[in-house]
Amino acid sequence: MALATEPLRYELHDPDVRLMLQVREGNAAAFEELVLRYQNRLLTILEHLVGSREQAEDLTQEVFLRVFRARERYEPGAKFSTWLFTIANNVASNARRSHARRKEVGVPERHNGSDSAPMQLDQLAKAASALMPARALDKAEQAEMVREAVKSLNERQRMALLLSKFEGMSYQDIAETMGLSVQAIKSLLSRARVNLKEILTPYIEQGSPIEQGIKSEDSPHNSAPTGAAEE
Amino acid sequence: MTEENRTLTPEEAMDEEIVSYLDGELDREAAIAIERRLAEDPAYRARLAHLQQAWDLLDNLGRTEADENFTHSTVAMVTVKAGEDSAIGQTAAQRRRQLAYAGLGGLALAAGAIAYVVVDRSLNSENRALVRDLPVIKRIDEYSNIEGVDFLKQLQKEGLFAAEVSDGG
Repeated sequence: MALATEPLRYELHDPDVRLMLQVREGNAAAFEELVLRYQNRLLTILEHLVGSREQAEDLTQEVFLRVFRARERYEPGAKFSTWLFTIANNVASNARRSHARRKEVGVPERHNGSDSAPMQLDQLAKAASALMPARALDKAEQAEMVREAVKSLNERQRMALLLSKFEGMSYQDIAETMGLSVQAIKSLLSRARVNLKEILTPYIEQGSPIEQGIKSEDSPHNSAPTGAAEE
Repeated sequence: MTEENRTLTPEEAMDEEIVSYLDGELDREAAIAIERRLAEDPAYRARLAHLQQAWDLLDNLGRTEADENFTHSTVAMVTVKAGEDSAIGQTAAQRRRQLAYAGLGGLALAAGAIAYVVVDRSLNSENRALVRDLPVIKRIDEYSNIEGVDFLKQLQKEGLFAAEVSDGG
């Protein structure tokens, strides 16, 4: 069939691509609309990726700046969100590299709760089990524990996990965003989930709300796929 | 070795299969096979439940909301930076033009110098040849009477040219 071989016209299917094409034509309002649509999504991914709200805001602004700078060369070759998160992934990788270089040359860094070095897996697991027997963790402690667990993943596992969890992206879209194969994404996400499970097992097994959750879900009838519903 | 092309252990392969199932990435046939195994295998079921529970804990991370001013400050920052880019671009273009003019001037000078040297050499080459051949030219009448090189060699053997040689001739 002739249709099957035609390239996908993203501007027909993706309203954000149409907005970006208006930005290319010099429409400032269209750019502001894109910022409004994507700022929270970018902030969420980047904050959990770099572990700092302040840095996530800087990186988000850097992403939008790159989008604006690229407007004249923009050609819709992917979904807008895929293109945007590809830029975000590059910006975050560059930030991590320059952060590593600063460390190498001994530039002193800020030290606060959100920027502290991630704990090792075994430390996290110990921390989780030490906290558990006495009482169930409150919401803030749960969130902190999960944040630390996510920070302990390597950067690629973390990015793939966040795109899957918060953007509900398919393996194909994550692969395109990160410049990897679908099989690599499958492995990354599997390793990420297993690592999370290992870190959080004491929490899962001893925290009462989770324990109930396991019992209630330990049935084939409750284990339907979730990926599509998480967007 | 990368995570992609490393050989998986049976347990890792099982985890990949379960995670793909949980993410809705398997085709219908593969999903049915997983569901059949889930119904029959309690250990497999427990593994899936644990992986799902760890995943669900990510809900604790929450989503980040931008401050009220974030959109405005982002658009303003982008506008300012884009303006700076434009100014830098104009300055760079001006500098490129100046460099291009300077380069063309330099090339013209170099071409002039090369042309001068070439013309000078070609004009002087005839005179240099005449100076080099002057001793021969002076005696061209005498040399024209000589039969050939063999005759000259014979004269040289007999020492008739020794005086001219010592005179630098």
